[in-house]
Amino acid sequence: MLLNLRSLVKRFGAVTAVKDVTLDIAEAEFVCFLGPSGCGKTTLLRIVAGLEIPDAGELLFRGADLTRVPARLRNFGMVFQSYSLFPNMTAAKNVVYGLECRKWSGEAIDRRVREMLALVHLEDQAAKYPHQLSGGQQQRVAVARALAPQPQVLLLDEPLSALDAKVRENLRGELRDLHRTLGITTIMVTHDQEEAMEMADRIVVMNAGVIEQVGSATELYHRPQSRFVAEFIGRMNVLRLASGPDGLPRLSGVPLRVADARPNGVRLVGVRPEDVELAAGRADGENRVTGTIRRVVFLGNMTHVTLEVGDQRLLMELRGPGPPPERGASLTVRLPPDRLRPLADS
Amino acid sequence: MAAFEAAVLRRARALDTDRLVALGAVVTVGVPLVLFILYPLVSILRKSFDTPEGLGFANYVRYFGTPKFVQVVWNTSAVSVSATVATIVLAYGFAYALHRAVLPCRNLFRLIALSPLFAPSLVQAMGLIFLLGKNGILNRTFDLGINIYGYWGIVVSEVFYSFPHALLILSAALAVADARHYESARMLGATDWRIFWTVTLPATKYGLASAVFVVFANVITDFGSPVVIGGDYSVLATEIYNQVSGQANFEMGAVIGMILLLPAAVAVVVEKMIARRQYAVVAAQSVPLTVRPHRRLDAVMLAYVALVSAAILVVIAAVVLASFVRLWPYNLTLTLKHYEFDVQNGIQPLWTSIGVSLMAAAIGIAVVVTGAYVIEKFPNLLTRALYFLSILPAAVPGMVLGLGYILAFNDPASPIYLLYETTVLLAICNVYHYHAQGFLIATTSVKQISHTFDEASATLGAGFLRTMRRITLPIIWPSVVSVGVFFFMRSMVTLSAVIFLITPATQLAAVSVLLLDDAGQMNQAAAFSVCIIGVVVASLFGFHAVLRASGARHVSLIQ
Repeated sequence: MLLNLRSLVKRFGAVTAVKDVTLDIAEAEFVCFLGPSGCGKTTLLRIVAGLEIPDAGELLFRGADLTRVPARLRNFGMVFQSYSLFPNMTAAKNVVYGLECRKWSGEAIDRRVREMLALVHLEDQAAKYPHQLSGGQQQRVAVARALAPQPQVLLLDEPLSALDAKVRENLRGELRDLHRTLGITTIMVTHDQEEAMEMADRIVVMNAGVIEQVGSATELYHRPQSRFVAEFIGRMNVLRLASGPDGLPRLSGVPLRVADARPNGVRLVGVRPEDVELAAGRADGENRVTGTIRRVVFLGNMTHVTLEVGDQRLLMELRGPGPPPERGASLTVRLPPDRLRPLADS
Repeated sequence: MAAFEAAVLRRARALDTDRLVALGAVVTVGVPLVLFILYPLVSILRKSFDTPEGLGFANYVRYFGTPKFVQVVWNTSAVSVSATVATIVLAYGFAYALHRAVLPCRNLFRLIALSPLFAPSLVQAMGLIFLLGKNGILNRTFDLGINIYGYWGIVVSEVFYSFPHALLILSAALAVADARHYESARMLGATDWRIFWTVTLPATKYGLASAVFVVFANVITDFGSPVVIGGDYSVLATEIYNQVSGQANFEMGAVIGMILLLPAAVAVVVEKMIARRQYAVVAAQSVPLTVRPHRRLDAVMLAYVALVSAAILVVIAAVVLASFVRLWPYNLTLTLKHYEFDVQNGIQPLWTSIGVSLMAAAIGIAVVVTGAYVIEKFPNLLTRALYFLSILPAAVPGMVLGLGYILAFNDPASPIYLLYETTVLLAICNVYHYHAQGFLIATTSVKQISHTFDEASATLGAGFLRTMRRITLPIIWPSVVSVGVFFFMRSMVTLSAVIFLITPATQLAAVSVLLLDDAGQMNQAAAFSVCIIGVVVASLFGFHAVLRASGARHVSLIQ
């Protein structure tokens, strides 16, 4: 492992931003810290960068303790949310800055700056000042500046969130390609699940200072372990189950079989709207629940139907031709046992 | 890669230069603050308890027992409260007109209203005397029989003197507004009058309160106006001067200084508490208010603004005119003879003032920019104490600080004694007299640089000093210049703190005005004042041109 985060804790006054976080990051990996604002993801990144010193825990780099090494000695490149290009320097001078700090020779600097600006397709903008560049161009200069000194790790702090949707889309692709070409270990912080799913090898979902789950996009989508991850990644119905006299969990009186059920029973279960099936025309009588249609939204390629089952709501997607169901009518659906995910309540 | 890890560990174990720089910086900032602010104040506090029988309250008891004490405190309160109320009402109207009415020549009116900042406070009093004094031209021409000396004279001249200070604060409060509140009020059927009382006034309440306390502190500590126009009407600031310069009674001067320090300090502390709450008034999603023409209101506002501007101009014009005539008001033949300065020292004090002011600008920049930067970058208990020391001078009347400097540094055993009776100490005294305002300007500009610039610089491998040299200073230099201009301007016109520290060899222009006025050489005093105003205005235009030429925009030189 390239980086080991061991039991990191960071407090700001009475608030604990990072609570006992442990995580290993492999060489050449692209890892995303994903979570809502205030979940501690940026603080965690800043600890890795050396911009915050943790109150407890340690940070190892190839086994060496980096916890108290100042940022400027770590040789990690960082791209900030607000570009933070030095306004008093041209694009090229911004890229040169880190090389001067490392006392590169003039010739080597020239070569590296040209190489870096070419990498981000900004050769012709070298002499421009930040305020003369568009947001996307500024962020590409920031990436070139971070990469120029050949850092060990590239840290991206919500690098795309200040950009327009279209520019963001393009830059997403560029950053991913860059990671592939250079093979540099990269950690990106984002609150945008789509961004994380598109770019990362591994996503670290964070909430309230702790890691909820770590996994690839498909793992997180298909096998969320907690209510938080289920609701944060994509759309998922979260249903409360009661325990029946036979020990089987029940949804408004109907016993449910959950393929992945744990020995100590299931209290909370998640099911994606696209996995809920119409029961009509199916022979097997397992996991069939009936509810009243409360809301019908026609979306073109599908129709969203919200059922009221007992005192809970269940969203499902209906596809294919046929008249849309009517509000107030009753509908029976099937919840496939292998699509029901037992969830921890977080 | 192994080489890199080894290097990291080696460098992390070695003493981190940044940490040394941090420690050095805090000491560099802290020692002068203690020496030039805290130590003089402690000296004056100690002196006030100094009696022949050792330390005790005897001086206070004696002073509180004199009938004059009650009179002076009453006079000071009467003048300060009256002048504050009048200034705030007049300046609020003026600021309202500038920001909420459609006015022609807005910037010209603003400049006129700010012009009292360019002159020593006693110039306002002299102007009033030229107009309404015993031999005032209005008094004589229209035979008004007005006696301006005393309460009325002080109040009116303090209003002129404080007007720009209040205007700056109230302008800032009235310049921003959330149009949505006004539109909602109008949709609900409120009249203009009602909107003013229910929307405008509440939205500016913090600015208003802030202005009240700033003006109050300004008036209660001012020395120039009461000494010129006060006559027998004694206030605390002039009493200190009488005790110290007239009777060499340092203990009593110290006692009165402590009494004056109290209300000024309370006013400043309250003002700081209010100013802290003021920011949240306009939210990020506010819609800026656009001022629409309103014929009747605009006409009334224009008339008001023109009237106030005329009054300000007339007072200054009287001084300027008096400097060019043979003998005001008897012989109005034009002459330049008052500019010959054939008195003791001649024109030398003006040059001394310029020298001291340039020195104060240079020292001031170094002191407050470093201070602001260090206190902002290294937040800890120690720097929080330094922050308090940095803004403490706002609460210290100039007379008190000046007296503190005598008591602290007029001692051959003190190393600072080398500077005693030199222009360097005058410059230092001015820097620390106006330290709070200069420091706050510098802090604002240091805060404006995003933290991420420092962090980006650090992640790229730069140390503290490189970041300061390559990033911070290049970004903030226009505000650095404005800090220098601020110290220059204040040093050119200040009278109160330095009056205790000058010698015949180090006499300053503002003091010359006072001495000439005292000696009855009113016309020459006027000429000297005009020279001061000329230097200040010329330097303002000069700096403005330099900043424009080098591409710095949006830098306000008048703070």
